[in-house]
Amino acid sequence: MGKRGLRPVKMGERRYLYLFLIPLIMIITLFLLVPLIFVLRDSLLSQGRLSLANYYAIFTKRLYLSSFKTSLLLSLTTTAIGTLIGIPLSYVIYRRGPRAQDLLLSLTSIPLVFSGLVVGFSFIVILGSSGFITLILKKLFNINPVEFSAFLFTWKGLVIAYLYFLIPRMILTMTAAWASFDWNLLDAALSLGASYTLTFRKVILPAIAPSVIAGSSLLFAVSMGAFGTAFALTGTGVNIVPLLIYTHISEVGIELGRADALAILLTLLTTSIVMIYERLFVRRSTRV
Amino acid sequence: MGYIELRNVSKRFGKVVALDNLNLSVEKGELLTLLGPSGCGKTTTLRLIAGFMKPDSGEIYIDGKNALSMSIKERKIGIVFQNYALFPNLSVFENVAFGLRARGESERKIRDKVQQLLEMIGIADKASSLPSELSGGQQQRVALARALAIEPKVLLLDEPLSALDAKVRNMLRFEIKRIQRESGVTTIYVTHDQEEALSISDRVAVMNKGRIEQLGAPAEIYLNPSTKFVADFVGVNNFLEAVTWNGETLLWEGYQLKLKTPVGLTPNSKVTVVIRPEDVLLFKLGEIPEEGEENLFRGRVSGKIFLGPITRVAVKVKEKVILSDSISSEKIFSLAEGEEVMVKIDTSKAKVIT
Ligand SMILES: Nc1ncnc2c1ncn2[C@@H]1O[C@H](COP(=O)(O)OP(=O)(O)OP(=O)(O)O)[C@@H](O)[C@H]1O
Ligand SMILES: [Mg+2]
Repeated sequence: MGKRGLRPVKMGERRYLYLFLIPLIMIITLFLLVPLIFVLRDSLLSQGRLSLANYYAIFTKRLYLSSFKTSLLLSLTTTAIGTLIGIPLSYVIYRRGPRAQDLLLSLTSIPLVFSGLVVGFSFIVILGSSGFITLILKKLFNINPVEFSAFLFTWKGLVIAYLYFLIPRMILTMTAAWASFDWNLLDAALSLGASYTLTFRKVILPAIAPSVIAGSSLLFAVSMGAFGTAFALTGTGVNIVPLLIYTHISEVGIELGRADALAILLTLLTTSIVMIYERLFVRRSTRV
Repeated sequence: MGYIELRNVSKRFGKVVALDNLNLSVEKGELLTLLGPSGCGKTTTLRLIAGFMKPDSGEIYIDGKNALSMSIKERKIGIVFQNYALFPNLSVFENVAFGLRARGESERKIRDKVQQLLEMIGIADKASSLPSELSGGQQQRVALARALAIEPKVLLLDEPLSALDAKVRNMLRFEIKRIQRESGVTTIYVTHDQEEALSISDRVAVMNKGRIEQLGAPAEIYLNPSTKFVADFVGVNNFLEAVTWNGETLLWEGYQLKLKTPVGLTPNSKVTVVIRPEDVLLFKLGEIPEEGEENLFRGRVSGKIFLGPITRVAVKVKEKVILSDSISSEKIFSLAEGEEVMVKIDTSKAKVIT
């Protein structure tokens, strides 16, 4: 076999290697576990007493349930579209050769460095009721700018805006997959007489599946938690969980316990969906 | 016309000229080796024949038909890659069956054919293993079986043994030769190992910088290299840069070298005398009379390598180093570095390249 795995680590060395993980473990504890524990604790408090009232409210009120539904709808849609667009794009970028690849990949990362708020506002500048594309379209096709841009402030508008920073994430994940793909496999399959479809299904797909799964999981998790873009575009006009959490900690009737419970449920929902998805497909794709 | 025919084929990658007006004709049923250093265009030649890319100019014929108007599939070529390129997610059986399935053979035929191939290459007990569960040699066998399964018109092997250790390599070398002979498939075998090339080929094509320098039977290539490059690549050689003096004599480093020069050379033309280390005889001082002997030079031992049955001694004559191979013996072992010795060049074995 051409590629060998990493050199096995000896017992003595292994204990030593754990030392390097200490900073990482500390950061995770400090910035992820500790806050999560506080949030969990506060979500279980209602007027200073231990209770499930916050959760009860979430599971019984239409407002909360529908926010989860919209969040899921939005995230599943963006994940599906982002994945389907990201894969061929990453392929094209990779096949352009190393120089074009460097350039295209740096362009690709630009959307990732902007804060979500900036993304949101730039969409308003471009596609809002007085955005320049909207105005051009008005000139050309005599559309009603207000009607046209109204969609931007619905969950469908959010899909477009989210894709702007999700597709690059998919491309970056996939580029690594193409780089490690053995292109001789493609030639071998074609030469044995396989059609392009068969080659894609039996050779390429199994090889890139782990990256597709990792990438789409990432897209889903990012969409579920994204806040800035949605906030900039719609204020709190679209009922998704992150915006609802914001409403509960910022507006007049502050309900911190409710916000905490929403956060806990959002985390649980996102992680379990990602875990189930990965379990389901990683198994299937590693052994055909 | 050969079974595979390349005519004036050129291929460049940007500024790099990979193939430069290459001409090659491979006979039906033969095993022809492309032998050459890294980057000389061996893989490019195979990829053009397989149809993975198109030449910039020139023509390729397979079995009398213009290959450039055929698809990859239509060319029906079995190819074994240097890294084997086995499908990692498919079992050994499915790897070998891949081409048959892709070509729509019946389930029954697939089963029989794959079984037969796996038995032929001695790996039938691994049918359900994944490639990653096999040794390098076993993977190599699977790659060969997969390529042969489609009963290809042409078999292309790109350095099929280079990733294996010496023992396995030597064994598989002859197995490949046997399988090739039994199946009678026209084969192009790529290697940069001269010993491998000489031992298994019907003919060897020595490549250099995108061209074929010499094509011939292994013995012919070894004994009669037509260029300095071929001589250098195909074996260890001494190269003596000399000038012609008259029809019988050359001048080398101020010495006379008695040697028939090729006809048609005017005096004072530059030539290279190629002489193998085994054709340079080594004597201790006093072992041979210095007077009246031709092609005998005095020098000093500058190094010694023990190669098992033979020992190679480097002798410095003036400032030039000449290698001499002798049967290993006490006499040779006792030579000290710097010791004065005599070397005699057996010019009847020498070749003059102009
Ligand atoms: N896809 C490619 N893009 C750019 N240059 C290439 C490409 N393929 C080959 N080359 C160049 O063409 C020349 C010939 O390459 P080729 O792979 O045919 O050599 P080779 O004889 O097979 O060498 P090796 O023994 O190292 O495999 C080399 O200089 C190589 O760098
Ligand atoms: Mg090569």
